[in-house]
Amino acid sequence: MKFSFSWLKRHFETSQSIETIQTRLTSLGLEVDSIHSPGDALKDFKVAHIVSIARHPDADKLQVCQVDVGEDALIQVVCGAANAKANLKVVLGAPGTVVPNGNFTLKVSTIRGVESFGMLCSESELGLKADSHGIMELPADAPIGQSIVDYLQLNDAIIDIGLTPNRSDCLGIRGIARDLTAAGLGTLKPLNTPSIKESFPCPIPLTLDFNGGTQSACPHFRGRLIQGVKNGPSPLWLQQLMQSVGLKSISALVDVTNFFSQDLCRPLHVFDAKSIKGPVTVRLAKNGETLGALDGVTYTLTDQMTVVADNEKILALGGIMGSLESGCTLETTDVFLEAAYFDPIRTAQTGRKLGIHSDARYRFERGIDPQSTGPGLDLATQMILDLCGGEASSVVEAGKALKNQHTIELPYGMVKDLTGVDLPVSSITPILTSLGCQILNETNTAITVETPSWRHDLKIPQDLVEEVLRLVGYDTIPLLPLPPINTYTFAPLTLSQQRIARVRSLLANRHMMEAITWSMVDTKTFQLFGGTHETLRIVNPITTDLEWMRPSLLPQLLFALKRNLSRGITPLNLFEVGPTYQGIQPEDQKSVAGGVRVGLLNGNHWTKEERPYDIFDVKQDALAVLGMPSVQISQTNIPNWMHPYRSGLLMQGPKNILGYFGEMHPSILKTFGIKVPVMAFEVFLSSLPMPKAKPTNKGAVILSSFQPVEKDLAFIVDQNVPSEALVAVAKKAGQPLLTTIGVFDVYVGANVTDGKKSIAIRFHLQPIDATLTDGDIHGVFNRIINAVEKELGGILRDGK
Amino acid sequence: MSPIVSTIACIEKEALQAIQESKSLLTLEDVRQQYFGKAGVITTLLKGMGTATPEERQTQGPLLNGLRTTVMTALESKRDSFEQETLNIKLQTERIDVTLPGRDESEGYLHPIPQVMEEVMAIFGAMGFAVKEGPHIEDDFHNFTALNVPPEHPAREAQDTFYLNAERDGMPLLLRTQTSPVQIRTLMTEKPPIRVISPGRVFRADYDITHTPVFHQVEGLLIDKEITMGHLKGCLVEFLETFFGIKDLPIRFRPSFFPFTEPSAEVDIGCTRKDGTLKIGAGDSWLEILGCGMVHPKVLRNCTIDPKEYQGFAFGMGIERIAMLKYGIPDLRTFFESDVRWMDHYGFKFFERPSILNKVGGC
Repeated sequence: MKFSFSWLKRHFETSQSIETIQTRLTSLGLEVDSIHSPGDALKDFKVAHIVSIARHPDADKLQVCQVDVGEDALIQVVCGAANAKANLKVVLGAPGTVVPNGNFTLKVSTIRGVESFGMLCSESELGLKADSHGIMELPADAPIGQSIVDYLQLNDAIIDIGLTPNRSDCLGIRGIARDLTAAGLGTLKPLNTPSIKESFPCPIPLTLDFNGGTQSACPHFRGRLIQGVKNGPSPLWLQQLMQSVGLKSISALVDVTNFFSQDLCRPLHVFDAKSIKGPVTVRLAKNGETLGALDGVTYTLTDQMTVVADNEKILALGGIMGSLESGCTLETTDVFLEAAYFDPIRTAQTGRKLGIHSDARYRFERGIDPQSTGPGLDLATQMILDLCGGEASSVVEAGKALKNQHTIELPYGMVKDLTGVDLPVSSITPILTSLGCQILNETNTAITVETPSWRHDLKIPQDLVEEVLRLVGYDTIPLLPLPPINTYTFAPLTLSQQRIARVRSLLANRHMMEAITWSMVDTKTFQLFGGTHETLRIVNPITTDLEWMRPSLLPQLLFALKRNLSRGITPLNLFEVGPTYQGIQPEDQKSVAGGVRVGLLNGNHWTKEERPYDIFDVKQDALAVLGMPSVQISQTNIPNWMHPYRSGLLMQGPKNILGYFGEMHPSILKTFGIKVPVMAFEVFLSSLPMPKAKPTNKGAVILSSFQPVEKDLAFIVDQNVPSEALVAVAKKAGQPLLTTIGVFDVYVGANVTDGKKSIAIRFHLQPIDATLTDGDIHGVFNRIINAVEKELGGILRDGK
Repeated sequence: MSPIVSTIACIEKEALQAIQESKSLLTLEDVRQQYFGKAGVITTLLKGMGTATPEERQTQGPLLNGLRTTVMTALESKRDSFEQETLNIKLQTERIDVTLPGRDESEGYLHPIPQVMEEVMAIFGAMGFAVKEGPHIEDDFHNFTALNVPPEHPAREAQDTFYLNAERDGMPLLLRTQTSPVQIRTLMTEKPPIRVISPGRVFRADYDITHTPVFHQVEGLLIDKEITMGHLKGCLVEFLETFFGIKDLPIRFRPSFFPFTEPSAEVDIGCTRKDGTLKIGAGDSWLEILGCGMVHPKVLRNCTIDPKEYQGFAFGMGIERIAMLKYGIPDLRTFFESDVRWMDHYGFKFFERPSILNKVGGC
């Protein structure tokens, strides 16, 4: 909401500075977004008088002016404007002055051999108009040498406030003045409603034609015919007011309605009465009816939209915009003036549906004072009569004004109970009355008030508490410490939340970069990653790239990989801990840790220990995230987007899938346009067993003082025997002395039969209460060798 | 002086001189053989003690032992110095350029959004707020109706809210536009006193320089018997000072409007704007940082909590916004681009995770 300080002063007597008012507006909840004075940039421009003018000796289109700015000597200025002539009052910018439009500094210059000491300016150069022809011409009585800021009264401050949606009362400047008055910054001038001389009865009949509970669409409508007006440009003061708040001055009749919309938040409409055929009816539109509106667009209406119509056509979309055909022009002589109340919700829905924005819609949809139809109509009638002449009819009226007032009992104690501010009871009543509340009853403990019709937002006692607090200032709220908590039972994070936090640290510690990506993907990606539920489609996506709730973290990570790869960045290690969506129920949202790795590990390192990332990097990522001692790896039911023979599922028991890891399927990478292998994993944190609070006591540990025995053995097994199976068999057979066991080599090739592989394993045996004898050691390894042979058909490799 | 005494003294002098003059471990070994070898000078003298009379043994024994000890000590000391010299030479040949990079030089980083969420959790956690989360796919009731947002409110329009092709209990499903539904879920399942914060992802149908379709919020809720705006102010002032690490950070509460709070406030922090850069702290300007207020009685009633018995406050703020302010990140959209160069610059090391033990204010 934009207004000028001088417009505010039409309603408000104050001796306060603009700075004080600015600060208080913000602390009242009418937040000042900006404040500026258009005159600031023009203070050095002066009224000047062209004393004489002569053709430039060397340029046809230039003239040399001798200009008087009230100094001892005349000033010579070269000017190219066609309208420059002797005896004209103009605007001079002297050397050193900054021209607002273009932001350049004037200098003494020589133009085709003639010196020029400044510039005669146009309105567009001064920033007063968007475009203009020739230099600005001032009235003959403009005082020579005066700053144009003073002469044109450009020193007004323009204040722009951001209004919260509840404060529609301040969409009229008088509402702002009312708040400032309540805040004690000045006094509100009385608003005198004129008594209109009604010369004839209004010949236009008016009906509200609503049924079936739609009466609320327009409960009240008043109108009046004014005959014999002479429309034309508004007087200068009205033009300047319009301009000051950024409105275009159109004509006196239209400017009057815009004036009251800004001034009192009282939208009005003027129809050219000669275009109205028969009685005026306010009703809901019929589906398919059309309106050629003032904005030049033809709108097709529905039966949910309120219209003002005559016998033949729609004259206006109620509370939003009139028709072009019934609009006032400079030829208008008879005008029908409307002051009505249109329902906020219906107005908002209509405006939104048709995409029409207007000052009227903006106000009606936020809720105007329904009791302003009376004074609003009379004030506007009077202004039209004053500016355009003519004679007014009586008022036609249909329906009656909504009350829009609430009776609220405020217990005094609620002020302190809610705000912590300890106010004397005696200060509460005057605050409420200053805002327009009527006192209905006062007791020792509570006050009952009726709220004013312009404050439809005041409904419950808490609303009144906010009003009181607003006026005493939010600065008075004390700083109080929170009540203490029981630290024994309190933990800010649940164990699963703590796990998520740890997983993030862990992956960053494993040299991965954390990404945060969109929760949505495009249709094709959704399907590629196993999405099936049509319910996960967003019906109003902002782009088809983000149309489906993602079934996996990997696609957005792949997009991220691709963006980075296209910038030539490699290697890349990205992870995200975030949501995937398997369905629409709350439990279908899964917390997942996923990651991708691409490129060479140590590719830039001087040690040349480089190698491509492989599935065992991401396998370890996944296992580290899981942090569980027993996880089985399955190679069946690998997700379609993974390499079928280079991926594994991580299982707990036969059913619970905890995650997967491996190389991404080359066809998937192809659709993403990624030409290098990508290693990936996902761990479904929501599927992990709930972390349990463990006992803090870990029990005793026996640390043997005998040296462990280390031994390497290699076994020849079938190619398809998983190394894990071999390790498991050996581990079991080696109990209880066998403590650690590790695969350190896998070999296929010369000296190993086709279809077989050699797996080399390093064993550590830990003696418990005595040094091991050769017999002990042989015993353990014979058991292992026998078990491997028996259970896996593996044999000990020669020479090992 | 008896002849044997002068002989011993002579041997000692010669031996020590030979040791002194040895040029290497090899020549030193020759010296050792000469004196301590099987037929060495000192070995022979010592052997001779076996046939000596008790008197001779008593007088000569200590002398010979003294000789042996002195010469042996000199030999060992000389050998040590040769070994030290050899080692020094060997060490020199083992010289390595230690300025070469260490192994494992690639680095991982944590993203500023979860980092800042954890900072927020750490501060409010210390004030007794528990962290609550909720589903992103929500219904109309939890996201709007229960929060006193009327059906005709523009926020419900498709231009602001993403709707899914699905319904639950006859209500259209949507992506939550705020984390407030978590507050509703908490109010409906827990008994006061309630003290929770709900950080998380939220969604709005908007994408431009200052809006992204996915962003993050944290909201707080405290419901108890005697909670006032004074507690709200105390709590938020403590949070803001700690988060930004600025003591006596200017903080301003001013009236505002939200459907779910009454009275409502917006909170500004002090700042200076100079040459296009913004600095948080005491200055001539203000910056809006969060919205808050006392929970509207309708919201409590919607969750079957009696507003006559309980009241409290709620607040909410944008995670990206406070992250941008604290860490000087100029563009919102960059949070979601996963550009590793950006992460190199704005990311955090894994050990920089905030905890109650690390001061998160960064001062």
